[in-house]
Amino acid sequence: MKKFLALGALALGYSIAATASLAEDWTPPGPITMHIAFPPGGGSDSQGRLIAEELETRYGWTITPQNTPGKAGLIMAKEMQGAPTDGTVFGLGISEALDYGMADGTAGMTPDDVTPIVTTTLAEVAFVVPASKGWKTFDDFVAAAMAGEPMRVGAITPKIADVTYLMGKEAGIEMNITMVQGGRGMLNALYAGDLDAGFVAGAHSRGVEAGELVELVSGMSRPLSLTPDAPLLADLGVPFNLDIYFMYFGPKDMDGAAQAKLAQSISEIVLDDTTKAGALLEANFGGAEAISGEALQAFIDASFVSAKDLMQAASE
Amino acid sequence: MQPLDYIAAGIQAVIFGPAAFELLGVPVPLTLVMVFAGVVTGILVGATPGLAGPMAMAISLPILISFFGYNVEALLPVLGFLIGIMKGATLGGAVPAILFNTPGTPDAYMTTLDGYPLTKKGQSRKALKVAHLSSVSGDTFSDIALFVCAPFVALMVERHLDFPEKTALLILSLSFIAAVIGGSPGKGLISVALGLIAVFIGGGEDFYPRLSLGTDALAGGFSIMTAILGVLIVGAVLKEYEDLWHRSNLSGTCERIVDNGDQRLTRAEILRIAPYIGQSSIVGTIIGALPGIGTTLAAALGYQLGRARHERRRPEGAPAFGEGAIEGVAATEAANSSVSGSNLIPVLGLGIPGNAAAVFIILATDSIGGFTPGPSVFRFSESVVNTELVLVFGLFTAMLFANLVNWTFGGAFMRAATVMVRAPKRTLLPVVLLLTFTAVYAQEPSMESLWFTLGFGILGYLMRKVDMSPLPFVIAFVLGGSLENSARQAFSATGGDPYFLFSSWISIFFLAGSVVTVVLALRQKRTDSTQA
Repeated sequence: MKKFLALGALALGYSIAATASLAEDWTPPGPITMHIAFPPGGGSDSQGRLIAEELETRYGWTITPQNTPGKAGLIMAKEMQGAPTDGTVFGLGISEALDYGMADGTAGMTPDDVTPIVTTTLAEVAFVVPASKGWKTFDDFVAAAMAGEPMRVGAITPKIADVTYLMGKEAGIEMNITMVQGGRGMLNALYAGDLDAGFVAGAHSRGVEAGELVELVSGMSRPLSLTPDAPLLADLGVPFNLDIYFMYFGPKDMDGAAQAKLAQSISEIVLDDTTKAGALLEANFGGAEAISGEALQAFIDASFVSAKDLMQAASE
Repeated sequence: MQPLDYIAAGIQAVIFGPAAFELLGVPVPLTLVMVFAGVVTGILVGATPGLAGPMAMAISLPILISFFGYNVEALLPVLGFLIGIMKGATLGGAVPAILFNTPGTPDAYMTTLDGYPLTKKGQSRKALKVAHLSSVSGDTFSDIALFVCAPFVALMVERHLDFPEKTALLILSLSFIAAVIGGSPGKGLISVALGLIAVFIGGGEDFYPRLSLGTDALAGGFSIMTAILGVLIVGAVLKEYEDLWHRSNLSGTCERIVDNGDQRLTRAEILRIAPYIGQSSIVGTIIGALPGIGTTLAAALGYQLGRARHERRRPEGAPAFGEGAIEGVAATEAANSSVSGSNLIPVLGLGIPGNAAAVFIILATDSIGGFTPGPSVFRFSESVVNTELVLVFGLFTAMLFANLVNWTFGGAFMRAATVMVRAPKRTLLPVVLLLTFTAVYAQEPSMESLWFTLGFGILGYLMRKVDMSPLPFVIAFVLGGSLENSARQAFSATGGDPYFLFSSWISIFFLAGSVVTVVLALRQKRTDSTQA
């Protein structure tokens, strides 16, 4: 985690240095609408609202948070099309909206139709099962699937559903993949016994610490914090990962000074764990990761290409 | 955490939660202040003809949310206020019924039958005392039933119902509501269908927004607040305006009330009405636990059972039901008040609202987030704190406090609320309309939302014109998303089985139940019309 934080900080430093003078001069020309691509109330919504609150406190800006949930952030991206580019409209979503969400072309958008601003954290994505099942490793899960009924596995986004499908295909097991509403919906279904397993993006941490849930696979390109011995997707023969960042983006052709100032100020807030937003990210997501500028653009470009490959692989 | 720890944590969440202010250096819990304010508002609203508890809940919810914000800490104060209104309104509804023969709420109609004759005999204060005692007793009994039953219902659902059964249960609930609300199953089904069509606009799994006719305005779908406030409140106000147009009267033309004789409620009288209160409380609680049936039937049934009992045991010379018997007031008020607590059993146990008040409890939790009513709430997790369960016990604490307020100050507030009966509708209706649009705009600051609200208001008005209850529409709108999700999940989890609804005996039973409910209601309706 520290290595990644350092990388994030480096990237931040780079981008700040490049645009510091630009950012210094910028103040919003009016009240800001901050879209939040999640329904009200959960950890993701709180993250956006706490960042908005801290921006208001630090800079005296007026920010109205507005929930624009749906389709893993695509609805929010659509909503921002044609919005003012002066920095008064931007939103918090997940990187999946820009890669997998736009990769098949049905959205009528590409990542070039938005302006990426800054990431706040990388979701700790893990393949999780209830401890009551008795499966300690992914091999146990596969053995149980081969011995009995098809496993019922939840997915909270379409990208996760595709990766889950490929994971099952590689392991030679049948899984009935079911879409569920967010991390809370997934946990409820796992605890109720409606589902056998599923990838969860951080909401499961307390359950794992309490011994109620077990992490079997890391969905990220790096090991899990709580179960570092769990295999990566690559170890299971799946050449994709679920590196999903929470990130801010704005409408296409956003004013460069606004983009730089927002990236700088949001980074400072999320990396400071004395702020409410920083503390929340530390508690719920294992800490902040602020990537902006060219590093962020490079990540999005690579993810977009990878998402097209993932769709192709999942449709075969 | 053990169950007792959860109960303690719930109480502490209320008592040691955020403070509203300090009184002599002692912090006064915000949730308790909100419950108190809610009860007072509820009594005043209930006492005002033309207004009703759900109306006040609908208007206050968006305003409260914009004031308290979207965080878990806001849940208990907001829910406390709404619960307070719900409880206060039932109490307040008796005031105009007893004093002026004009029921403030539809379920208080039966109260007029004995309450008003008592007033004419100069016994209005005694009648109000009987109503107060009966109403609060019934309410408290119902709450206890809720506290005991909701966790068991939830645990049973959690244990026995899978995705297909949950889908079938939602279908059963919607059929039941369509069949029993409003007296016409056909109109009920149309109302449910309209609600489902409205909620399915703009949603779906595909990127292209469903049923939006290619317009941006419909792409995001209708927000729940515009639909519900429009149909329930704006529709009701438009209908009231039409009635006013026809009648050109004011609701405040009240005669002078003169009391004479002893107005105290003696111990002997309390003992005399106690069995009626007990009987009606049980009836109301059972009816309240069934989604959709509501307080009016509870009041009617409680009154009928009370009358049968009274006929058997009436002493020589004592007034019969309908002639100013205090037992009549007691039977009605206990029955209609004991619906409110048990109405929350399906809300907390299943996540299914049974009446308009319960809709706003679900709406509050949906809007604020952090708490999803349903079976998973009652997971008594020992190693990790289930914060939703703590909130439930916090809510129960708030309900008990609301009862305490009703017991102690309720009587005095009822007497004070008599002033509301004189409020002319011509003044009230524009105020309600203004507050409604303000509430919608506070939640969604766009002109679109106001137009949608007006559109739904016209729909609500037209539904009332053709005697179609708007409540099935509202409940279908609230449950439509869950129905679609659970059906999709059941379809996927069964490996794409198109007959997933017939995959288990429980879901077949629920489906058969939904057909039988509608058929029985249709036959009943036909029999009634033949007799008429």
